[in-house]
Amino acid sequence: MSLLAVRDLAIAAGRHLLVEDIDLDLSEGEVLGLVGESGSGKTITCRALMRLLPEGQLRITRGSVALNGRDLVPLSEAAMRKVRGVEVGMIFQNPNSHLDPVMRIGDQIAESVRYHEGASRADARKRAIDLLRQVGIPDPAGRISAFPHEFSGGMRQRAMIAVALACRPRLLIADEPTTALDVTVQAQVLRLLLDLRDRLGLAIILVTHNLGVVAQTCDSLAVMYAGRVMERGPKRDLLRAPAHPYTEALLKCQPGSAAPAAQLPAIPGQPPLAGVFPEGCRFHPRCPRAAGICRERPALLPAGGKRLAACHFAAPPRAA
Amino acid sequence: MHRYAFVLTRPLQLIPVLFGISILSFFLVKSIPGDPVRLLLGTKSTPEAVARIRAQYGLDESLPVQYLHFLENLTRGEMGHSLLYKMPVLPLIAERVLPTFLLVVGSVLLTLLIAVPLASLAALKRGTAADHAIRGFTTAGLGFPAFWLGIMLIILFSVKLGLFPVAGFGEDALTMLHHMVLPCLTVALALSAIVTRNLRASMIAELASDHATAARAKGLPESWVFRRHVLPNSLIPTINLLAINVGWLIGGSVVVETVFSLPGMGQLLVRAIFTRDYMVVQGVTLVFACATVLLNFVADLLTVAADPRVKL
Ligand SMILES: Nc1ncnc2c1ncn2[C@@H]1O[C@H](COP(=O)(O)OP(=O)(O)OP(=O)(O)O)[C@@H](O)[C@H]1O
Ligand code: SF4
Ligand SMILES: [Mg+2]
Repeated sequence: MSLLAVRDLAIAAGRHLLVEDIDLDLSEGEVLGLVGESGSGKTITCRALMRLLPEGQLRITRGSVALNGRDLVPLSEAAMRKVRGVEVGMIFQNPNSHLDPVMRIGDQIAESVRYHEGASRADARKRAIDLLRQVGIPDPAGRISAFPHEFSGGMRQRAMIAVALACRPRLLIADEPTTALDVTVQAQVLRLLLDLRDRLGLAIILVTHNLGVVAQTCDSLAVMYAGRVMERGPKRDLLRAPAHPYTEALLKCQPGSAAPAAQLPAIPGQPPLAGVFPEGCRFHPRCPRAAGICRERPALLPAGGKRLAACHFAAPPRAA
Repeated sequence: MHRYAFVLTRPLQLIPVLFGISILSFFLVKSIPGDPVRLLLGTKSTPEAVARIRAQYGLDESLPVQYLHFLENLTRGEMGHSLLYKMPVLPLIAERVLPTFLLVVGSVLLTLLIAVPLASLAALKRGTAADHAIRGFTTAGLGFPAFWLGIMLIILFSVKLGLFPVAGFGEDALTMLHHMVLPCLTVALALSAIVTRNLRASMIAELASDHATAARAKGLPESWVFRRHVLPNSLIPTINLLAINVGWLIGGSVVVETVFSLPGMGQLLVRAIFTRDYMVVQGVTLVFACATVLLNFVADLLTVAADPRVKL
């Protein structure tokens, strides 16, 4: 049984569906890369997994999010609070704004331990020191009483990882955890995440714009476009022989596909605006292979090996 | 440099400020029209008597010399004599410090006591009837002058309901407190209107902030997020707002002391102005100016304590 199984998830703002037909699978210790152009719905999908969509603006209209076999979508707020932080941790793109500027780092780590586990002040403090050590902060006992502004950007991101892991969740959702950091620090933070995966058996959903990051860190990959999953499966398969024209376009536009730091490239045309997606295959206005049938919506279907693709012309299993 | 190092350096920086205050209060009083000696002796006084009194109070010297005398006396705690009360100014003011001090401190505490719950309620229940009612209260509070509110409160609570005294100050702690309720409430109602408004706005911004989202992602309940993250962050601009209003607070205390016949420095100042009691006007002005400086210093201390990012 997989750790996380998302099926048919849809998120709407009012009457507009922003994200639809989201299917994702993740097992223990797996790193899933979630890529796609800006506005394709990566962040709101992550928030929806935590049931943390902005109230009154966005809501889940359909689908299920099964964590260890239990669907989170129908859970009450109180039950959901026992999932957030405890079973699923989340880190964000900007550690500057996502840490409380007037609370000590140690307290920000310790407070969820105190709330969820009823730990004593001393025990929570010990845990905070231990976590800071695990994420590679030097002199953790001295640093727990520091405030966020006293940390460098990279240390802040490490601290945020420590906050997210305070109650030992099995799954970490990382929404562009390195975008705000400079390149050398990016690599360190990614190495830290992989290290934590190895040591703790942590499963990670890694949202990124950077295919180089995907190549280096992920086990599997899901490519989103205009609020839908276009293709997903083992990273190797997708990067070597993409089945979906959109994945192919992403890879092809890379300046020398070996370049590790390459950003998502420009594909001719503009991505559609959320809520006014084209009929049928949402990629068809920009797709080089588009044909008449593409005015009908393609389903996400097996396309060779363990991979799934939503394209009428997804490459059929080759040699295998 | 240590964040609290300004506690040591600030007094040095304040020396020129205090000089400025002394010069201003000295010359302001000198520029008031009317002759205090004639006022003291009456219109039928002989020129000799007038000259004698002038010499006695040093009023026959040139202004710079008078100012130097004034400074020299200040260093000895001498602020001259009141012409009206026929006693030294310093003990006269000292007698009046307590009611004014209680009024200012009590008003600020009462303001927070009113504004924090109201702003929290309005921010958490945004757009509901409670929010609209609180907005109505703040609009009303901003619209009415402080003394008018005071008179209304006297009529309601003292004259009609007989709950609080109409005027004056008590003898012991308990009766003093009893006498302070309405004056403090008068100032606090006016001040809490503006504080509630600002606090509500910053709470709403903090509720939608990234760090509040991050706190929710830790599985903390909304009440915890509010208490531990939203409230401390939104109180920081409130301290600043109160600091800006220190001058208003002292000016307001003058009006309110007059309305409630509170024997404080404000009332003393008003009476001294009407009777051209120069020395008293000068003394109270000095004390008020120093109090303003001191309260701003306290506000800085609170800001530094509340916000670890601030360096002064
Ligand atoms: N609160 C909201 N109300 C209405 N629409 C929203 C809201 N939040 C996001 N959206 C819309 O949902 C779509 C997906 O947004 P999302 O932030 O998930 O994109 P993303 O893939 O994370 O992009 P990026 O790479 O820029 O972070 C966007 O079109 C955005 O405008
Ligand atoms: S379904 Fe058609 S338009 Fe869509 S990706 Fe496949 S070929 Fe292109
Ligand atoms: Mg995003």
